[in-house]
Formats: sequence, C-alpha cells, structure tokens
Amino acid sequence: MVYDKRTMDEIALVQSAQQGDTEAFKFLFEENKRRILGLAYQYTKNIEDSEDILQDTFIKAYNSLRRFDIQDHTNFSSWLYRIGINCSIDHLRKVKRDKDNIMPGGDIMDASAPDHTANPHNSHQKKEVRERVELVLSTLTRRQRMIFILKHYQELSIKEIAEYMDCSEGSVKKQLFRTVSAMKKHFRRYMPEDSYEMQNI
Amino acid sequence: MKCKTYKEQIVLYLYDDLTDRETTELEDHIKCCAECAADLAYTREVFQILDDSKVESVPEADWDRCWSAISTDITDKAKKSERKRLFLFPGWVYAGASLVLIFVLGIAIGRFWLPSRSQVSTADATRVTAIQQIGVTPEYVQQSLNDHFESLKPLLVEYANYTNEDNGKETVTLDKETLESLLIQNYLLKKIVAESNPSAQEILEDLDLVLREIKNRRSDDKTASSLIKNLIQERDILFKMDVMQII
Repeated sequence: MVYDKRTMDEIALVQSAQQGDTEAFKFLFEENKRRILGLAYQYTKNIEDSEDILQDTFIKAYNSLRRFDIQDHTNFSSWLYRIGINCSIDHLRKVKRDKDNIMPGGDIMDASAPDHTANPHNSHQKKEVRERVELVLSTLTRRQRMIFILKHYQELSIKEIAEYMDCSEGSVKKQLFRTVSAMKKHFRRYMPEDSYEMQNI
Repeated sequence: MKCKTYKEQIVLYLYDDLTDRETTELEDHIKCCAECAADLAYTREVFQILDDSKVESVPEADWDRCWSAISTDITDKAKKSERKRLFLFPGWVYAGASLVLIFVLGIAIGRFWLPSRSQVSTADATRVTAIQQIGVTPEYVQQSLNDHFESLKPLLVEYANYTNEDNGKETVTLDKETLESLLIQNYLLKKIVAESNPSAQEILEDLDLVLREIKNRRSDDKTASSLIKNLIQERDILFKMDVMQII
C-alpha cells in the first residue's frame, strides 16, 4: 500500500499501523522523529544516547499501539511524546546505574569544582556554562530535571507538563521553583557584584 | 500576599505562566518591594544564562540506522506474534496435552496391542511344539540320544565299577565345564523327548541326577562315589541305555 502523507491524516496512519502496517508506522516516525530526538538530546546532551532513546520510544510505541485509543481524543504525537519522556527518564536511570557501577560513590559536584574566574556572559565560555547547568541538573531528581527541560527548553505550558508527567500543575510549579532556586544558588557566585548584592538585600 | 509567595511567582512570571490578575499583582508588588525587584532581576539574569546554555541545534541523527533498528525490532516481534497466533493456547497447555496423550497411548498399547500373559504362555508352548515338529526328526532324536549315551558310558561304567580301594579316585576325569555341557545336552534332549518318548525321558532324568552328583562331589569323597555307583546300579541306567540304543 502506498501512502501520501500529505493527504492521509495521522488517525488513518495510526489505524493502519495498528493493523500491522509498518509502512504507515514509518510515516509516523518521519513526522515525529525530530521532536523526540530534540527532547532526548536536550535531556542527555549526547547524540548516541538520544538515538537510543528515539529507537526505544518508537519500539515501545509500536508495541503499545493496539492500546492507543483513537476515540480517546488523545493526539498521537502527545502520546508518543509522553513515551519519549518516560524513555528519556529510564535511559538516564540506566546510564546513572552504569556510571555508579564504574565509579561507586562518585560525587559529581566535587568531581568538577566550579571555576570562580569563569564569566558566564563570555560567549567563549558558553560550553563551560552549559557544563555548569548540567552539573546543577545532575543534582536534581530525574523528574525534576525532566520538568525543567520541558519548561525551559521545550517551552511547554505548565498544564501540558502536568499532563505528560502525570502530576498536578501545583506540583510542576513547585518542582520548577526548586530547580530555578538551585540554579540561582549555584550561579550567585559568578554574577557581577551588583547582582550579588541585590540578591542579598 | 507575602514576599515569599511573590518570589515563587517570579519564576512563573518569567515563563509567562501567570494569569493576568496574578501578573498585575506581582508587577504592582515589585514596584514597591526592592527585595522582590532584586530577586526578579537576578532570576532574569540566571534565565539568561540558562538560555545561553540552550542547545541551539540538535545534531542530525542517522535516521536510516534508527529506522532500521526500529523496523528490525518490530518485524521480529510481528513474526513472533504470528507464530504465537498459530498456537491458540500457551505452551504449557500443549506440553500437558502431550503428556496425557502419551499416557493414553501407553495404556492403549498395553491393553490392545501387547499379548496378555496367557497368550504369551500359549505362544511359548506352540513355539516348542513347532520346534519339535519342524526341526527335529525322530531319527535325529534317536541319533542324538545314542551319541549322548555313548559319551556318558565310560564315565558311568567307571562309577559303576567303583570299589572302596579306589579311594574316590577317578580314571576318567572330566572337568566342570564338560560336565556342565553334558548336563545341558541332557536337559535339551529331555525337553525334546518330553512327550514323544517317555522311556527316554526317564533315563535322561536319572542321568541328570547322576551327572549332578558327579559334578558336585569332591575328588576324595568316597561316600559320594558310592552313592553314584548305587544310583547307577539301582536304576539300571547302563542297561536301559543299551536297550534304548538297540531300539
């Protein structure tokens, strides 16, 4: 069967894929791959890991496709995105476990002590700033990290995040506040003097 | 509202996630609260750092390799599920059914195919009769008896002529293996002539007794030698053997 993805809508593709049509599923893959990879990359900062997450996401989606209810008013992309979020969290859990097995008791914060001379506003030190952000994120729980990424980098609304993470909007707000507070605490020492003083008013 | 609550709202304010009313309230508060204003300014700066750290472009993935891995996995699963679909029940059901089938077949074979004990006995008897009827002619039996008696005669004559002066010593010596084969030969002949020749069977039974005594006696046992002599004489074994050979 030949599909024209411009004319066939998502529902039809999902229905065909549910009946075992892998060609239809490939169109769904083409439509959603960049969004899932973007999420995974933002979460892992590693393209190989992101590709693994992408594959896991689509394999899990295909295996659960029969349970996806088209009548349930759920958008397939949202459903897939939710699977992508879970796969990313699971992947990080696995990576962390592997890392713990190699270096048991390793302290990430101590392992790379902050450089007080670094200036985050300097574009040449952008990579270093990214590492620092990653350092703070690594101290958070996997859910907190995901909520922050979904909000700050994927720019989802609080309501959407609550739906994806299967929690209340209040809980999302609280986790976000904690994460930003941790960031503020960590970056306070690199701020220009006036900002530091303002923070201590 | 307290400053603590406003500070919590600053994060949502910067994300543009406050309602219009909440936004107005926070902006009004910041105008008159230096601490919250400073917190907003600082948070905005941190947000700038975070924005700077944002990944601008995601590297291009090897899409073909990714799809190939997905496709292989789902095709394998489809094949497995197809295989599963061929079997209506889980594997253990088939294993159990096979065991029951083997059990039932075993009973059926034992009950209807294998012969019963009485049938086996009948078959044995038929087989013996068949051997007697087909393979062994009366002439052959007679010849065999004659040969058997001939081979035994020197031994029996010696025992028949035994005196105490001999001190149990034999002039014809037979080892145990030869005696054993004579006993077997005697037994087989006895079986063959069982119904057809009662006289021969009687002599063969006497010979069986004598041969067993000879086999079991010790070399210096005078008593056993006398006993064997008496047996041969009392039962007229040598005479009967001569008569049988003449007939």
